[in-house]
Amino acid sequence: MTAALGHYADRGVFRGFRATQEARGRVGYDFFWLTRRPMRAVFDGRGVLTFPALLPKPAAAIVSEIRSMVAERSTRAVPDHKRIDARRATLTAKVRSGDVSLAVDIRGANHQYAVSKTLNLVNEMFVALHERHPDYLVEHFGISQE
Amino acid sequence: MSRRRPNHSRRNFLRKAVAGAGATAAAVVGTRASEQQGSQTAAADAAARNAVAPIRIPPEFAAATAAQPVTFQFPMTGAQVFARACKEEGVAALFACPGNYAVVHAIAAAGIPAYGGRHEGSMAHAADAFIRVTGEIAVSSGTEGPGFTDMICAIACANAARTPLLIVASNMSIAMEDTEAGIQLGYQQPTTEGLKKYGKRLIIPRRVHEYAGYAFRQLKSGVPGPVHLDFPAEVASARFKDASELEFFHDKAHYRTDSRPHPSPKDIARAIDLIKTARRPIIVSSNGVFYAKAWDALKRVAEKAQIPVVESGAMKGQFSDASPLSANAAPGALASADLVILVGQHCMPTVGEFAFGPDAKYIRIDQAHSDIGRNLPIELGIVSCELAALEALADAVPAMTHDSWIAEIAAARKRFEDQNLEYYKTGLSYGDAVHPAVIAKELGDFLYRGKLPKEQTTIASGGYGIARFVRRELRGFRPGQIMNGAYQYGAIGPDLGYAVGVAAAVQLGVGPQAAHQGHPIICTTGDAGFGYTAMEIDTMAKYKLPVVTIVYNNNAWGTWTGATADPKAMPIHLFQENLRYDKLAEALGGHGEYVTRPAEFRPALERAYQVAAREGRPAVINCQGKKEFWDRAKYPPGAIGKVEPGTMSYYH
Repeated sequence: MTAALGHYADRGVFRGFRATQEARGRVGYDFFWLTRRPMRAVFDGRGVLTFPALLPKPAAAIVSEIRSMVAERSTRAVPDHKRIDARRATLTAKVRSGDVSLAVDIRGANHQYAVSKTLNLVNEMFVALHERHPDYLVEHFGISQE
Repeated sequence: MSRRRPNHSRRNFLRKAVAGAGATAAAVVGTRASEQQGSQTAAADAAARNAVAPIRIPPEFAAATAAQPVTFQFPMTGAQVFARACKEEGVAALFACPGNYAVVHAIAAAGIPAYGGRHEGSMAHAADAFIRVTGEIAVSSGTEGPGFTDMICAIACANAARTPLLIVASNMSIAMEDTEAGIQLGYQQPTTEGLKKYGKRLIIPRRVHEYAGYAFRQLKSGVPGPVHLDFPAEVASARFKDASELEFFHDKAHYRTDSRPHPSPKDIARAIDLIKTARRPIIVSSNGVFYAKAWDALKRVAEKAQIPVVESGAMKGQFSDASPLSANAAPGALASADLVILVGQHCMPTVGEFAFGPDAKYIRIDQAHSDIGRNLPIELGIVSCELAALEALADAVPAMTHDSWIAEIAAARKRFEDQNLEYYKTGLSYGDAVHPAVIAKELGDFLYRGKLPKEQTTIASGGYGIARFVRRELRGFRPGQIMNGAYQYGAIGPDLGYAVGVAAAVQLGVGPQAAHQGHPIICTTGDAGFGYTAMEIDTMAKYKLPVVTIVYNNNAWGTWTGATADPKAMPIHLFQENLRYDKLAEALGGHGEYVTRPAEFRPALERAYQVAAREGRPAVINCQGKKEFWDRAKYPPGAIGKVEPGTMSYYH
């Protein structure tokens, strides 16, 4: 997993990328990517990569849109190259303490595949927020109000 | 014979006024027999007193048009030497306020079209906009001190937009440097530090032509940017009997070159390899394509290799939105691109500002070697003039197809347009004020789906909240059709200044505007932006610039939503409600429309356009909205944002 994520740091997509060994075989990843706020992902060592509190305290409308985007990812509503093959990985979005977390459950050695699909989805989530909910990004991610 | 001095003292004036009032009172209590006749006379007098002279353009404007330009020959002043260089270099227009007299008078006398406005900042914005829709150099001028400092915001905007704007300003005299003798002392060059490509205080009169060369070398090479020259009196007023009294007085062919960097064949081969292996390539066309006039080469590459194109930049229209390859209105597809070819994207986004995904590879084509690789990681950098690189790519790229990718873009475009329609229908349902989605859709219908040829109307696109809806509907069908107002610097106030420049470009038919000469232009702005530069309606009227300005009037700055939890701060964001900007236009010689219901907008737009087209008069459509339209909970969709690049973009 570290190699799969580190690939994006090597290419200059992530900045300040750091992997930290944590308790119970977990690995934490901290980096900057789409905004000036740090992002965090945690790999549980058994095959699940989670972005905890990816979106802090979103409104119900945002949660609904995010859930739709995640669900759509395994359907024919999206082009082939965006679709996630459930035999290789599955995505879930959960709300915990009002924050949206995104998790990808990886089957077998599909780490690079799963990471790519997940990161592309995260990028699209932020594009959607930019388009329809800029005020949310201003409030929680320090995007300029101008 | 005695000569008495007239007594104009205030006391004497008041004494006479009181006597006059007494006489009037006496007349009022005069004989009843003459009362009726007296009352008719009084009415006539009152009517005469109330009759006001109509607003009119002074006859000097026609005289200026009729006057023949001067070809300056020795003996010349420093100002005339500089003006002659401007003329030789093809400077296409001057925008100024009074000040820096010797220089601006010489530039105007040389026959460079000259526009005088109400504020130096507005005029510098006008010059910036003129350049952004023509690709030709314009100059803006202000007096030393206040005139110059009034231009600072405009210089900063032009710098962010990478506009080759020539700024000139007078600046006291070398002999009196540092003394504060007279007025308006200011050190200009440090003031524009970080806001220009090149600047110089001219201090040696005999080098005035040499420094004109410095200025035009910078303006006409590489990545453009503003050039700022300040003229002490000794330079502008210096007199030269012949060329021997000047240093470096020679033709431009000997002080600069039109040669441009060309791409290395190795880089082009590598680019072709990347294009061949990409499944979803896309070209981002930006400023550099416009200034290099590379739109034909861009079209050739795109069509031959079936590569979609999306635009960013301070102007749009280099690639026609009529093409199925245009991805400007397909934001939902951008994240799918796996190869992004940035052409002339001088103002680079950081990761996350463009919608492209984490797996996208980037080729960057730019003239600035030192900038390639900044902000976005590159797979390949090509140091080249945009035209040369696109021509090389067009020659080298094989004919290709990307059918499924183009279908994905078409589907995304359909979703975007459906969303716009949904916003429009929602806006229509709010019947007690004009929603910005209504303005956007009706404007799009008028410009592109009505009687006008869709490539005809040039747009000065501005505003803040209104822009987020209007940009979704604006389309470019030819180079220079859309002037992207705020762009990276984000100023919302320049819009009417920008409109002066865009309208002047169309009026003169400069560059890509030639085919559309004389047609009205549209300016979109908000009430906050309008407040900064509204006096330029007078400038538009006196030069017969047919600008239809659409003002979205929601009684507030678009930022008010950020103060909802701070009642003491909220008034900072608010204006008086229901202000009549249309009346202001009328007072300045323009036509005014006030629109308070959705159904009223389109007829008002038709009338305003007709006035502009028929009479060459500016018009203002004051669209009464309400600030609560930005409240998503009460009035969905509320305040919306943007996706870059493409039709919505303005940061880059």
